[in-house]
Amino acid sequence: MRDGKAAWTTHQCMTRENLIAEYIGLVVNFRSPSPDISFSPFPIARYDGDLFDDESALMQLYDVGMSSMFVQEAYSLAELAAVIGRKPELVNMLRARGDAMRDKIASHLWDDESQIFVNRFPNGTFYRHVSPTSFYPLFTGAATAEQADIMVQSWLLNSSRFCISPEGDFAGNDPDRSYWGLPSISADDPQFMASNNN
Amino acid sequence: MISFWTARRVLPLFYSLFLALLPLLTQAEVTYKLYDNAALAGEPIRTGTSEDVQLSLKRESTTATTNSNEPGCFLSGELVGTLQVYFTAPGKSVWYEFDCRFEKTSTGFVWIDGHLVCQDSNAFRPNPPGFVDNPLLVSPRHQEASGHNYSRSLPFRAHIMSNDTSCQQGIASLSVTLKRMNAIKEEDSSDTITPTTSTNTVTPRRLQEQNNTAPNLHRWLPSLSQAESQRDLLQRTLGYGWGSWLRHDMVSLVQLPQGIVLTPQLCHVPSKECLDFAIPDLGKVRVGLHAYDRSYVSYHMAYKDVNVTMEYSAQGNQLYYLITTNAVNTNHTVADYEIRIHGRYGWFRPGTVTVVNSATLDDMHPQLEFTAPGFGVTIVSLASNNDNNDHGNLQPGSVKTRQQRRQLSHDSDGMDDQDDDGRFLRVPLPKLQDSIGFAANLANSDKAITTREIQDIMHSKKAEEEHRIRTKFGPSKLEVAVAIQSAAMWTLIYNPAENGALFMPVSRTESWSFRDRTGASTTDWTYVIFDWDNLFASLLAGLDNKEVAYSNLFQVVKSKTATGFVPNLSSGGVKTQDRTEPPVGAKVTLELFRKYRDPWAVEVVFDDLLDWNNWFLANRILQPAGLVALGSAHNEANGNRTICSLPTGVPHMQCARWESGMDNSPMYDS
Repeated sequence: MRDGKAAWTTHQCMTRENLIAEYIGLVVNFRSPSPDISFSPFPIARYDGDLFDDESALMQLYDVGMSSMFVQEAYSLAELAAVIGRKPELVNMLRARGDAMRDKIASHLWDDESQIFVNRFPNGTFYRHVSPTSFYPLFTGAATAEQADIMVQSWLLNSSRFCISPEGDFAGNDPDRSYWGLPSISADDPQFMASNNN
Repeated sequence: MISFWTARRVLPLFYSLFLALLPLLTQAEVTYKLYDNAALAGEPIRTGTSEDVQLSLKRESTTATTNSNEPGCFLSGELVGTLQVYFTAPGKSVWYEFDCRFEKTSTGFVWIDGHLVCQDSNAFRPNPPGFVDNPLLVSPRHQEASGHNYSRSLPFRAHIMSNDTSCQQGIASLSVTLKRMNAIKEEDSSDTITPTTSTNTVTPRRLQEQNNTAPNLHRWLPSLSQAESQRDLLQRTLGYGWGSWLRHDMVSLVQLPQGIVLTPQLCHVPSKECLDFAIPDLGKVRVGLHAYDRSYVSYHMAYKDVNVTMEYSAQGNQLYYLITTNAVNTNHTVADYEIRIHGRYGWFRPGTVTVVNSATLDDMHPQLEFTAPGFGVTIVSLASNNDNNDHGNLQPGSVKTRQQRRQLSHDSDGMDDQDDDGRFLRVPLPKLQDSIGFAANLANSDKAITTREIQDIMHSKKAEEEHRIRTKFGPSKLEVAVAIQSAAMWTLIYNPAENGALFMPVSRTESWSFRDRTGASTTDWTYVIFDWDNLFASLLAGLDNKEVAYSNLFQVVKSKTATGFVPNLSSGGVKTQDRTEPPVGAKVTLELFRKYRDPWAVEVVFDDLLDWNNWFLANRILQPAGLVALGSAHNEANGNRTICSLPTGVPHMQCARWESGMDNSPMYDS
């Protein structure tokens, strides 16, 4: 089975209420203001490194999250095209488009060492900073059932990585449940403590 | 029987002949609608088709309508139709430059396929070049999508309004002309089945006006598609009645389509200071339950030493409002506070606000009267002090007499003068745990309503809404459902610049006003749409309210750039032309379709979402593996190429990080 979605939706760590609450956070007050930057109130974090190539205008990093969402969109468009009676050629093209990108994700972005999908440099080196986007291939069917189980057990439910529970649950009394939502970077990543944006 | 190969040779010849004859076969024809109110509201007084893409609010007298009392102009008008563009070769995009001449308008917008290509520079300053979709790139549809790729139909809308009710300043009008531009290097459309081997270098181009002798390769058709017409119907129906529709103020109530803005202010008398607006980042408001139909809405405000609860119930044009004093610092007294109910018209809408002194009237009802052409009168009345029809709380002398009534015409600057008693009703803050109410548009405006009656209405409406939610989602989900629904509704706002629709910006905070970037002339016009944040908002609203979910979905997807992607952010026609955000539009649309089964709603956004997916293939594929990468680049029509939609000082990689939608994620910190 290539569909890891079941694992994603049925895992025990996060309740549906947690997810919904996280969405509410997105909608209501996700970002903090910063009046300093021209054309954007986004706060500019101080980062190390610059992977951006001016010639191609691309960050030189295969992005597992964006690639996965591209696939999800292609598959969704295929369904929608059929719904409104577009030509079968279009439906087939969109499915093929999604399949092609899904296969590239499966071929290039699974990191055997980390046992999860991660971003990767064009030279083949894995970029081992694991964020929630590493789970996005589960939306696409890029993961085998075995890979999905490993990701859920080793990463999603791992209290030293994504199932962090600093003081139990949100009410502080249930150490077996995750705290609120997922951190923006795995808790065992050096950036987890270095950043105030996690 | 014609063979495939014969057809393939012959059909292009027929097509060329068709293009050559197109100017002879067609004339411009769009539909106009004229209204005697300044809000495109209700049935148009006059409608028809025009051979020119022009609109005038001049009221021509006719035998049937001659009336000496009629003003010489209409107050709003719209053009609708479809711009059909033909391509000379398959797969080749073209550019159109739109020249819009607005005369004497108070508000004017022109949209082509959802792109705000022109505005009259009253609501926003003239759009800076490079950030807006004019010139507009028009690309053929995929061959797989349409069966051919020689033409494309683009929905066209234009809205103009005037607040010169006497037409003394001249007649408002609009004319639109367009020029087809030849690109020295035309964009190739990404007609690709599998990820391309594109090098992602976008070729700079220069545009020049097409030779005058070349045939016009476009024509105007007088109607919108059925799906686009349904979109307008849904959005106008949704935007009706009282609601908290101002981005910058969760305290004010707005009555649509009139544009009445009613603001109950909490004032501290000794310091002469008022809490006259509230938004989340200033920490002055805590929101509560918000019914989708506004049958019950509540929020709480803290100001200086007092804490009050505000509740309202809107039923059509009727409004009931209740203010309750919850807590007060023991060192102070409620006597130091008062409520001032201000009125004005928003978004440059014309109208007069009049304060009426109850003391000279039989009915003893302090009132604000709102009068706008085409809408009649809206009356806001203070409730009497429960059962004795007595306004005992009314501060003596606080309301002007009828003879002293003042008219506040065209007061839409959003900046009230705190010292002007004539602008508002004024009543002391009720004592602890007590309430004061007011109402608008009572069925019988002469009939008194008491605060106790309004309390009963609130109690009943709150219980009804909670029962509805509990029944639909179950008792265990009540709290979560209330949170989702309220989060969705408290972000729902109105802005005429967004097709006059309701939509859900990411936040109502001042930080997200983008006033400095759009040059919005008043806070009424401020807003910003974000890509995936706002699409998630449609998903939230779609759990229980189709109309809100659709209206927001349409506006977010229609914020797309000319090159085909939904931008990181969009406000008043100004967009981040260099970057998108995570694409979730098709997924959200699919989820809404699975729930509501409306193919027409899919039709409205499908081609835009397909363009967006295509755009990734042409612009965001990193080799050699051919996977998606984050990026930032924009080629302007003048040939300039920019990375980052930021003038100076921001690293290019930061703009690419912003495209991730996880703006400061430590994931991109090496």
